[in-house]
Order: sequence, then C-alpha cells, then structure tokens
Amino acid sequence: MAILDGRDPIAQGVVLDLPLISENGAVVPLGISIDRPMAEDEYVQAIHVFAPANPFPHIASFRYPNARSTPRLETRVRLNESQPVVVLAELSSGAVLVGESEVRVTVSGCLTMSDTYDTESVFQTRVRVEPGAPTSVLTLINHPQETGLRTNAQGEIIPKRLIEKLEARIGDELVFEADLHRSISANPYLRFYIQPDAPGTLDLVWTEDTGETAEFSQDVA
Amino acid sequence: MISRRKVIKSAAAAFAATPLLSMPFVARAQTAGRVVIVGGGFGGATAAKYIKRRNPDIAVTLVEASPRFYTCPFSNLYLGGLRDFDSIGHSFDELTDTYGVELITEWAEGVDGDAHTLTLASGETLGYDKLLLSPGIDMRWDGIEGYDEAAAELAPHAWKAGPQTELLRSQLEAMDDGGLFILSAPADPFRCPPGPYERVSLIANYFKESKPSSKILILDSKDAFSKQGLFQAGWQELYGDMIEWVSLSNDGRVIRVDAENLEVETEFGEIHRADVLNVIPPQKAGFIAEAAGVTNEGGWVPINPETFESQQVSDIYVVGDATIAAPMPKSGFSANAQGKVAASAIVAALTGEEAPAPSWANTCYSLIGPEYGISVAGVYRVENGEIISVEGSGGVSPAEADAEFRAAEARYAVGWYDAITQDIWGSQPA
Amino acid sequence: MRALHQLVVHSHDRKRGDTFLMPWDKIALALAGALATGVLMTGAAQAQTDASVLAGTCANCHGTDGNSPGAIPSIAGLPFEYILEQLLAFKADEVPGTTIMGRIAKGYSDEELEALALHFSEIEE
Repeated sequence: MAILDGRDPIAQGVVLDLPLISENGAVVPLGISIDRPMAEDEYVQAIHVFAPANPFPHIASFRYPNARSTPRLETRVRLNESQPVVVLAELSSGAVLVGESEVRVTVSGCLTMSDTYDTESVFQTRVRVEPGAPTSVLTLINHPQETGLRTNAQGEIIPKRLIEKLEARIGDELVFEADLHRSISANPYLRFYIQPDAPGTLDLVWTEDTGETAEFSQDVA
Repeated sequence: MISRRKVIKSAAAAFAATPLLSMPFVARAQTAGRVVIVGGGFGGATAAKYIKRRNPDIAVTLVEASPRFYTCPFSNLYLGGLRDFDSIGHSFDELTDTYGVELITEWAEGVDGDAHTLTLASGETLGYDKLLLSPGIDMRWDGIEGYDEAAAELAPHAWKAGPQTELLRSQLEAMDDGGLFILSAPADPFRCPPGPYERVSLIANYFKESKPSSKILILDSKDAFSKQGLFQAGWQELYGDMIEWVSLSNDGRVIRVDAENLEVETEFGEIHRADVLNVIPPQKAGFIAEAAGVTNEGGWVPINPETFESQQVSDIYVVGDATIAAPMPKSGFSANAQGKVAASAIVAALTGEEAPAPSWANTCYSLIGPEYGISVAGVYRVENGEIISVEGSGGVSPAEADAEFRAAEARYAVGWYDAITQDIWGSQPA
Repeated sequence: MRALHQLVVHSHDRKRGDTFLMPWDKIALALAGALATGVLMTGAAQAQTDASVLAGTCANCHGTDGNSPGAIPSIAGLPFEYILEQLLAFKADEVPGTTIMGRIAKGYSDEELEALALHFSEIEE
C-alpha cells in the first residue's frame, strides 16, 4: 500500500467508535481518535480510512498540517457489506498506527435509494463551532455524494458527483484538510478539532469534483 | 397413531370436560424439565404457551412484574383517541388456567447462569433447567443530555405502554388548538421502527378532528425510516402540511432536552419549543439481560439464530426487542415468532432431540388514519449461521394503491391485533 | 409421487420416528390438487423444518391454530386442496385484491406451502 511505503504499521492507539451492527449501510457513524503517548515533537499528520469490501475501498484521508493537531474525528460512511473498517494514522516521526473494527451490515447501503438529500438546497452548509480546548468544528454540506455506481428508476447510471475536499484555514494557514471519496455518506458530515494559537477567522471551503465550491467563515477565539 | 396436534387437542378437551381443570397443575408429575421465563410480553408469554402446547409435562414459570400486560402495538390508537387504554391490556388467565403456567407477579432482579438460578425482588430464588428472557427494552438515560427519568415525567417517551402512554395522552388532550407537538425519534436500532411515524399519524388524525390548527414536528436522528414513502404520501393525502419531518442531515438530531421548558436543541444548535414534547431516546436490552450477562458492549443480546440461545451464557434463551436479530425488526410480531422458535428449541433440548430448523415471518401494519393502513412484511431463515431475509419475499405495500386497498389493510391491522393477542394471551377482540 | 410422500411424512412428527397411518383421504386430495397445479413437478426438495414450526408464524395473523378471532380469515380445517391452491396463487400474484399474502407466500418453497396446507387442513375449526 502506497501509504505504508514499506513501513510496518503498529496495531496500537487507533480508537474506533463504530456500531457492531448497522441496519443502514448508507449511513454508518464513525468516530476516530488517536490515543498514544507521543514524543516531544511527534504528532499525527494524517488519518486514512478504508472499507476493504467496498467497490472503492478508500473512504477518506484527513490531514493535519501542523503540530497543533487534535486527531479526533466524527463522520458518516457507507458500508456496502459486513466488513472491518481499517484506519491508518501517520505520525510525523514516520511511524504508522493501524486500527480496525468489524461492522455487520444487514441491509446493503451503497446501491439502494435510501440516501436522502434535498435537491433544492445542494451546497447548503451547516457549521457549529464550539470554542474550547480544542475547538470543535461540526460541519455538514447538503450533497448527494453520488457514487456513479447506482441507477435511477429508468435504469440509467446516475453520474458521479462528489464533494472531494474540505479545507479549513485560520487566516491563511491551512489547519485541517479532508479528502472525501465515494464511501462518505450523502450530505458529508464531519466533526474535527482545531487549536487556534490566536484569534482569527476560520474559513471552510468544500470543493466538488466539478470544481464548484461552497464556503463558510466565522471568527474564532 | 395420531398426530401430535391431535394429542394436545384431546388432552385439552379432556381437561375441559373434567374437574381436573380446577386442580393446580403443579400436582401433575412434571419431570420433563423446568423452564423459567422472565417477561410476559410478546416473546415471553408466547414462549410459555407454546412450550406447554408442545410438551405439557415441562414445568413453566412466568415471572412478570405487572398483573396485566399493556401492548406498545396499538398504543398509538389510544394516543390518537381511537381506543381506550383498557383495550390494549391483556391478562395471563389463559396461560395459568388453560396451560398450567405458574405466574409470579414480581420483578426479576438477578441471574446466576452457573448455578442456573433466577433471583426475584423478594429475594426468593428459582432454579431452572432453561431460562428464557423476554426483557424488552430499557431507555438509555445517558443517551440525550438532559433526558433522564425525571425529564420523562414532563416530556414522556411513552415507548413502554403504561403510565407514560397515559401521560402523553393527557398532555395531548390538554393542549390548546394551534399547539406544536414535537416527537424526537432515535437512530437505529430501536423498538418498533415504524412506531414513531404511526404515532404522529394518529395524533394528526386526532388534531385534525379536535385541534385542526395544531402542528406536528418530527426531529429525527435518521435520514430514512421504515415505510417512509408510504407514510409521507399518506400524511400529505390525509393531513396536508400538518406534519413536518426533519431528517438527520437537515439537523434533526436532538442532542439536548430541557424538559422544564419543553425545549430541545439539535446538533447544529437549533432550539425548538414544543407544547407537547415526546422524546423517544436511544434504547438497550431490558436490565435483566445485562444482569444475566448476555448483553454485548452495545447493550443488546447476541443470540444463536437457530435457537435464540444466548451466545454468551448457555441455557439462557433471549427473544424479542432485546436481541440482535436484524434483519428481523424489533417488533411484537418478531418477538412472537422468536418465542415460538425458542419454545421448539427448548422443548427439543429438554427431551434430547434436535431443534427443528427455524423459520420466521414478520408483518408490521401501521395506521396512517383509521381507514388507511400500510404494511411491511418479511420472511426469514438462517443461512450460514445468520438470519437472512428470504430473497424475493416481503416488502412494503404498493405505492400506487386505491382507498379500498388502504382500507383493507387498516381492517387487517385490527385483525392482526385481535389475532396476535388471542395467540399470546387468549384475549378476545375489544 | 416421491415429493408427495415426503411431504406427508414431514407434515407429521418425523423426529419421533412414527410410522403412522397415512391419511389417505388427504393424499387423494393432495394428488388432485397437485396434478391440477403441477406442483409435483417442481422438484423433490425436502422440507427443512417441521410444519408446526413453519405454521407458528401464521398464527400471528390467523390466530392460534389458524382460528382467527377477527377480520383476518380463519384457515383452520379448510380443505387441503383449497389452501394449497390459494397459497400458490398468492405466490404467483394471481389473487386479485391481495394485500400482503403475495409478499409472504413468496418466502416459502412450494413444498413448504404444501406442508402448511396439510397442517392447517388437519386442524379442527
């Protein structure tokens, strides 16, 4: 695997919060945190999430460009069938942590029509910033996150249409970045944490695969 | 030689015809084993009856805290003013008088799986060869901030039929015309997946007749719900825009409850104020399951699907809402079907036979209006150690159906309730 | 004929190893019904479970032993041939005005439907 680049992952420190059984594979809540003593200047640089049995296993990657990261996330993912969800965490030291958790899916989610989204308000965003140490940023964008794998009632393939990226900046500094793929649930939902070192403006930008963007700004202390 | 069924029939006929009926059943030689059942609802009472029907020589003791069992199914009709509360209550007379089940009206408090004993609230201990738990659900009082048992006295869940249901009805009756009824619906898995949506339907029917300017708001922790298309089409047809549904992705998830002020706060910070607030919180298996050590870390009970015996403690069988039986839903119908399969498995085990292969079906009727019924059905088997829905079977009522079809399903909904309550408790239609 | 023989055996308590009196009248009816609908040709797969276990779930709507107290029809004691024809017709979506039985009947093999028909036909009303 390219991410590992020949490194042996350590099965330690990746804490996953996933249901043991999911009755709707289209929306499976996933929580991730990294719980491991770090060296002085060591921090989590990236977290990668996989569903090995999905048609496109790479669910998402989350990147923390600087040492003031809080590697804790909540999102919602699609699981096509029962399988383990595998998470890799890359540390600045070069070490890679791995964790996995098995989810039993009783109704296949990806190819059914159970995803709901409001066509009139695609690109509408919701954000809730809760200041603290760290500051929680809860985000949602109304979007079908079409996989390009399902058909409409007439049997035609619904074209792929994805929110591919969410970037968070404070001032001009990138503080968090998410690459989202087909196995992120409709209406991409993400809670992440930031630790601003000074008051500033938090700017969020979501980018669709068409290049179209949605933006949100709020002052944070 | 005659069939087993006929044997049972003639035995019952013999009892009916002789003074034996009035004799306590314990006087009979009961050497085929001792089964203790906790919970007299859809799973437990069914299992008690069907164990006795299969083998009257097995001693069956039913432990149930209430002298009458009130059903969650059809409690929505009571909430909508279509039935009185008494009509959803059922006694255990048939089980005790016709089938010779021993009834203990008490809470069960603890289980010692190694010693094969159940402890009652009184401190008394009952020994068993096989224990069957039909514990239903308990609320997760830590599931939503601010929603604890005290809060439920102001903003009822009414998700166990009883005083909570009566409280919610009295609040609806006291509400002024033009008021707002808010229902907060939980994420899966929870008891009775279509239940919250039938509830708002029948409350809408009540409002339409008695308080026509009132509104209903459903704040949902899900993006999709059971029979959604049918419910939403029916709401539109019968109640116009009275009912609004807010999905998870539209900020429907309630994260905080202020029961004093009847206010709820959603994930993204919206505050909604209700005139009547019904919070259905996340749930888990009833406490006796946890006390018996049969629950997993998610709070539900993993079972062996062939028999519904616990995966964690042998000789303890668990049926109904407490179990992990998906794709079978947490419904009264499922609990009844599981109770019968567990009964066959227990009888087979006690008589040294192999349990017959299980088969279950489920049908959930929902009423959108008194003459507007919809249904979802499923047929289930075990394949490769897992419960599966039989391919090509089951499904929901057609989206395109005429008023006659909906009216027929509404009649069958009542017919179903009459039949299943007769099957379980020997009740007669109200 | 082999399928029919198995069906009759399985509708009784095969676990007890009883070699009981064959209900010849039922067999005659079954044969007539089977020939009319062609079910005997559909294969000789054995029923995997007791008819009484399969039937347990019917009682949910049709009452204990198929004696319904309410709006849903009773099925106890109806002629074997009639029940079987109905069940097969439900399965094939051939009964006008059906609400739910089509969806349920599709969950059972023809042999299982035969076993159920025999089971309920044997019960007294």
